[in-house]
Amino acid sequence: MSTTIALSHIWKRFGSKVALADVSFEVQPGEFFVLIGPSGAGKTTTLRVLAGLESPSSGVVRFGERVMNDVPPQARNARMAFENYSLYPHLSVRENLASPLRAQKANKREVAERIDRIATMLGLETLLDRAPRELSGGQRQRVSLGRALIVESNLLLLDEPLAHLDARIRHELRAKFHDIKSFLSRGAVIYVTHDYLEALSLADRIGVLVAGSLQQIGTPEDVYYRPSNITVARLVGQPAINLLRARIVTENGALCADVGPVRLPLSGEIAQALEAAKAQTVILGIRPQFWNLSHSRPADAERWVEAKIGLYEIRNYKGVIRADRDNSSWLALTDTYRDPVEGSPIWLQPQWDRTLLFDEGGMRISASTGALGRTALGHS
Amino acid sequence: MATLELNSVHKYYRSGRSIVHAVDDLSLEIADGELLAILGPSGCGKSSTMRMIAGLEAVTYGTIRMNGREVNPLSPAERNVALAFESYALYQHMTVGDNIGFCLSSRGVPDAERISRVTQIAQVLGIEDLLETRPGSLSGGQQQLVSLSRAIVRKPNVILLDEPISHLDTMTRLETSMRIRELHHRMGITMVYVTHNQEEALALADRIAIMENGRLLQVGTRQEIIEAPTNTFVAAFVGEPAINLIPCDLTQSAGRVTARSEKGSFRVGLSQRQADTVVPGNGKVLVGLRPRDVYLSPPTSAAQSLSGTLRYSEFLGESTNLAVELDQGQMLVASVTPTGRLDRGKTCTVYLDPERLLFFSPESGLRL
Amino acid sequence: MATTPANDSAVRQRILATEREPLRVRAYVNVALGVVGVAFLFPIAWMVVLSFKSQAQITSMPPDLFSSFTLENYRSVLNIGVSYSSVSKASLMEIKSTEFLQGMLNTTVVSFFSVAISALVGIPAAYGLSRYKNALKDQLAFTFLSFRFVPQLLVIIPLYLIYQKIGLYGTYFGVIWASSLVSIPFVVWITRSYMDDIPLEIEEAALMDGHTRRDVFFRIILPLAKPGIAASIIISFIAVWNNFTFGFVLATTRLQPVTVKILSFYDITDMNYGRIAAAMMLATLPMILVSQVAAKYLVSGMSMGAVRK
Repeated sequence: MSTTIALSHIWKRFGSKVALADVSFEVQPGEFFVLIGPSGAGKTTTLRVLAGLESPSSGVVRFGERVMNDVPPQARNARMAFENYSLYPHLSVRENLASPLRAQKANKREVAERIDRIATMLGLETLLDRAPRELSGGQRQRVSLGRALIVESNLLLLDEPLAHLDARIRHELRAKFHDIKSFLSRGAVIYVTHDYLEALSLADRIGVLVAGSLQQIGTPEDVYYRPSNITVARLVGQPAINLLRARIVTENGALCADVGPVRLPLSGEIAQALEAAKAQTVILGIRPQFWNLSHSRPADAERWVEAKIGLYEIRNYKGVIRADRDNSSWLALTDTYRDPVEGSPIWLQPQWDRTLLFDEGGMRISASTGALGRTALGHS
Repeated sequence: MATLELNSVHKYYRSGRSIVHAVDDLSLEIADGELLAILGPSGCGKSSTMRMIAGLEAVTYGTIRMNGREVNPLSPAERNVALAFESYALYQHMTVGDNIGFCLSSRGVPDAERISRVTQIAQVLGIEDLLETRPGSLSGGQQQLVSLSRAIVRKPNVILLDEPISHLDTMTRLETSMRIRELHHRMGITMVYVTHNQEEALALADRIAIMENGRLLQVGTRQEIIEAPTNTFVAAFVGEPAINLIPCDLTQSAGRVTARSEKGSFRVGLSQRQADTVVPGNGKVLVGLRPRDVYLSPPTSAAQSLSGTLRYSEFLGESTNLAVELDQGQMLVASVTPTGRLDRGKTCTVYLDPERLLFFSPESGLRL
Repeated sequence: MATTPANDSAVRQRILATEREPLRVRAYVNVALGVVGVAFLFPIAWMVVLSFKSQAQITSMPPDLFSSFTLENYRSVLNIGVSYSSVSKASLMEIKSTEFLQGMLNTTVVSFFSVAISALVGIPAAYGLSRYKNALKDQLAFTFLSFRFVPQLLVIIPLYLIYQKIGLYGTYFGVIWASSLVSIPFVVWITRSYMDDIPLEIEEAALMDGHTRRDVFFRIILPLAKPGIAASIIISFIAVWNNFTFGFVLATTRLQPVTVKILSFYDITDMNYGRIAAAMMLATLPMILVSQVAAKYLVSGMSMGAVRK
């Protein structure tokens, strides 16, 4: 079972609509690969192409050396847990779990052993004789997962397994996945979600899919700290990254970013990167937690942007300040337990060592090399 | 605009041979213009409560009052409540603008006024560009905002929202919920918002009502719910990751009270004030510590430290979750700012501010 | 949620009290239901009562419906333990009775085989029409249904001539085959729409589990479509049982179904309404029994809960 799963230049069209555009990636055996993207990005279509439930319009699907394009789903030795669970309504939980074993004509003893093991791992022991309609959402999801796990396979495809569950159960099951991960040592796992937290938490590598094309493939840290473009940067992180258009000008011999209301002097690595790139207009990417904030006028106020607190709310135990200035708004995270007053002034300064640079086309400029890095979708 | 009052409301319904007690003795007051969130896990009775407020289901026992007037026998239309549910039920053959203004035009409101009200609400929700499009081409989040606009334009007494954004993807969810909050700020209509997602509830609501198994456990502001939860269920339900609950014995020596876990790896000294609230008891207490109150460096000068082995770390972008094993079977979860590499299996020291601890009775689960 | 509280019956009453529609609405609804019920059931009730009445009781004015009941009509139809005034009458009635029983046999055979063939052919057809989607397919499915719209009288003469030519006239097979014109549309149409409701994803899950397409059809589709299949079989069975035209035109005396044989009781010289009613009751009884036995298959909701809604 040590086959590398590979998609090469997969295109999929439904009539005139392009669902997948030149999608290529590889997943190693034992790797947990998460495909993330907004609704309609083509994530489920990708899984279905891998499963054999859809044929690509062009491109090649390989399991190891073998080309799988014409191999039907039942012959691929891939397992899938569907977004809507797809349990067999007329069979008990036990028989649902046993289904892949029945297809392989396994003997009674093996069936019983495996069901036992999976049921214990997923906490289904007391539910084995129930019918799917008697189960809660979380229970059905676990049965769906159990059915996909009960037989080893080359490839495990998980389609938004946590999507339709209560927030609480979702977080608990996400933790459970860490345990399951160690159980899945051999085949490749491809997990699809729109929730970036799940992606960051579970993935060995993440593939970001937007509107049918892959924006970036990388480790969670890569995708978060070194997004290849602003689409990726906005998708991963909440609240979403702030994007400020800035003209690079020279004032008093120093490089400055003109962000409209104010000109911020630059120095250090970021200034060097900008000089090397000879960029005139850039987009600054400042994550809400990477602002310096001051509620009173700082001594070197010319290095700060002054704004007014337009809205304050608590999200996930962090304060989110929406700072307004003229027609612009920026979001900042703050850890304070004291509620800031809406309408009062606030000063913001980007933490320059954490600020991302993007060119006008939205592609990230690598700060260290200064190269206008059109980062290739590397197989990292 | 209306106040809403539920007095000892019970809901029973028949299910096969037995009776289900879906809502148990619920009493709640909602002020005029307040946004109240009803929060709880699936099956806690929040949807039933909502449906009774709406008039879609009968109240078995108890009364519901709007502006002091009993509304039990009234239909939803008669109560002037507006519903914005998860499935939007927009009229596909009409434009967005017509959808929103539909009930006004059927009431005979003059065109000029109708258009101005529709436009005003669309602007607040940021959908004025969509007024001429058809619902079919809108995204989930946009449809939800249209549904909401349609509900508001009628100037109802109360707007009821049942999990309006839970099926949207993460980015859309955040934007839509900010718009809902904006809307509430501007229009000041009484809103009841039902959800199972505590993040949503905490972000949007003026007050939050927490339900479990048909019973109302606590009603309060975000501050009250987080800092003074009534019992362990409320404490564990609100907060992500969930609060750490550590069973401890209380010992006293040299005038100081210490809470100590069974194997001794969790040990904190209590202040006099804390000791006073906790001591009446049989010497056993459940100590609650929220993951975000566990730090990798001392947060205050009075911080106490604990050490253990790092079992896993989960990088989540804005924060990192750590699980530190204090001793066999006793885990402590921390939510910290992401730092450099943390090695699994290595010893790890964490710090806490003892003032942030919560104490619960091990038998009843109630906070002390 | 807690269940079954202390004061159970009080709560039940309270539930009913709070959830009932106001009295006025209930009254309207009940009256309407009553009227409709009577309209539907009256002819059947009438037939049942008449079958237990003597001719004298029926023809009196007003009809004597509620005093004594008799089994003489049934005995007459089945020719068991009856005596007649004259020998000629006795032998005539004996012939009619034999014919009637022969007709029951014929109808049973024709219905059974006709429905069996329709099921064997129609169920796979329904699956194909359900799963392999294109615009042509919807037209094809509708064509199947349109067989029901065809007035049988329109086709019966050409069919008679063709049957004569190919030697199918007066054969069981011929009548069975023609009768499937009645049953196939039901089987295909009802089963197909039932299969449409089985989510494609469940089949896909089975494929992903490693089952062959054959397995998928027999282990997944058939069990889940059982209610639809049962319903269509019952309905088509009743339709074929009721059929008059094909048995009348395409069958010889030996093969005629009971629908035709009942006509023999419509004798101008001896019009006994009670006997006719008894004959009708006996002819209808098997259908009633079949639908009662199979009724339980019509009420299950099989796909609840398997796919998240």
